[in-house]
Amino acid sequence: MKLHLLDIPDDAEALAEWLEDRLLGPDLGEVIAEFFAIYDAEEDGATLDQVLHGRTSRVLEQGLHDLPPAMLGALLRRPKLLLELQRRALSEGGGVWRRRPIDPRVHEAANRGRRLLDAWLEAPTELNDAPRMAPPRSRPDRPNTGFWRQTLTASLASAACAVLAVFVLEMFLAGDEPRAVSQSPAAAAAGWGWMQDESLSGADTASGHLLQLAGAAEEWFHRRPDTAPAVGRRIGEFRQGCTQLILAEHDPLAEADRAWLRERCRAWAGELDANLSALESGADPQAVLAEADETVTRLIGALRARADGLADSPPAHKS
Amino acid sequence: MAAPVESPEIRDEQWAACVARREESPEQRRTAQDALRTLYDRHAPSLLAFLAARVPRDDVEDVHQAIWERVWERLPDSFHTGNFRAWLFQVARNYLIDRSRRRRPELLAAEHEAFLADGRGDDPAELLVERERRDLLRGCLMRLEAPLAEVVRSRLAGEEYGSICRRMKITTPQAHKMLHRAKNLLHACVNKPDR
Repeated sequence: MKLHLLDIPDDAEALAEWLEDRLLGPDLGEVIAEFFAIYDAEEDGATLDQVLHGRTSRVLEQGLHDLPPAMLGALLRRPKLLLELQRRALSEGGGVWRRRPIDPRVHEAANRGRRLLDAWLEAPTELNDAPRMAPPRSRPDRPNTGFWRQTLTASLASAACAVLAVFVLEMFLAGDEPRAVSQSPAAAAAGWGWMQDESLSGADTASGHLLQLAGAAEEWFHRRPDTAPAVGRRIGEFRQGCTQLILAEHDPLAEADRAWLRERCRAWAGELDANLSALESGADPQAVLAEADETVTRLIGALRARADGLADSPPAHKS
Repeated sequence: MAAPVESPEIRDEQWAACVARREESPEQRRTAQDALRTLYDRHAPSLLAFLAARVPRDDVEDVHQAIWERVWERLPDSFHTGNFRAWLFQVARNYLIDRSRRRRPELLAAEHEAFLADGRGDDPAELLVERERRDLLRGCLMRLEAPLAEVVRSRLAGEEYGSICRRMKITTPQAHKMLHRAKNLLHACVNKPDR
């Protein structure tokens, strides 16, 4: 574990620069935790403006280098104010804050996110470029999440070509016989999404395997429950699929990709657990469903983006 | 006479206006997607830094993506003119409030906002996404000899060496040496193999 506080410079000018780098980089949370460990942070209710004695605007434009050492020390002793300073520097700051070089780790994360954003934006739209139709059960306050979900809803609301597209998708996922979007009780009992054994095996390549998982996850949108018990059941079933995915072998994947997949699935599972907890605590089922929609949309995007990155990789050999 | 240079805020506003007009035509939709990519390239690093201090490390990139999806979806209706960057961070804060509310539905709305860690929560420990780090370091600090711990605490709180030395009745070289030793011991303690 790297302790950031061990690197704090003695020199005031260097300290200002060090602190600016922490405010703009990915380590501020760790730095603040270390400050809380070192001493009991001063909880005098002082605001950022009070600690900076009216210099806030200047700091937001010119950075911290002009601050007297005592004022820098006062900031460090109130780590919570560092969070507020960070927010304001990032959202309002000019001049020096915009010109500072980006931390390479942040740059890499931004690049990864850009690939995910590209994949999300390039997800297939409706077949005929017709103006988007409103989702059949739109709710004004319900977040309209996911490019993919809008696309599927618009397709279902249009004519036979959209229904045909759904049947083709179902045939691709099932591999054998076509299924209607509304599953028969027998089909439902056999599982859907990642609970189906065929969703976790059969692909020859790493890329194909991840795309297969993404396709299975898209079955989430085939049912739109509207009661709390139904929403809970749907989320629970998808969550169960996460467990199946975590425990599966994923033969086509290299070890690094298997580790990535399991780690991400644990994170997604955690979000679904939080959704269930919220539902059990009385949250609006449609709001919870919308949040779960966001999670599923993101995980589909992540799987597709990872598959894109592996498109030219040969199948992994299991060690 | 040179043409006036547009401020970054005006350019952001123009890109945002592009995104807002995405439903006008398929071509406009493609332009809007490019505009969103431009806004992303300009603001993603700042937003990532903001999130890294407020969300567990493993969740940062997922949350980041979710926020940009909200930007795409909500921009036509809820951003009209003004400072896009400020609006983006408001979207991010609202997302974090919603996320916090999902995880802690028993809290009142005001407490959720406080958890957003703008420093106004009642319990500073709740702000910490790195609670384990804090506890580990705190434990290691308790194992230091008292004078070493005092030098570390005082110096990292911004106290001048002169003040520390007068109070502890030590010389400046001694203070430097003690701080150096304390840092080495802390580093070794937090990185013990059995942790």
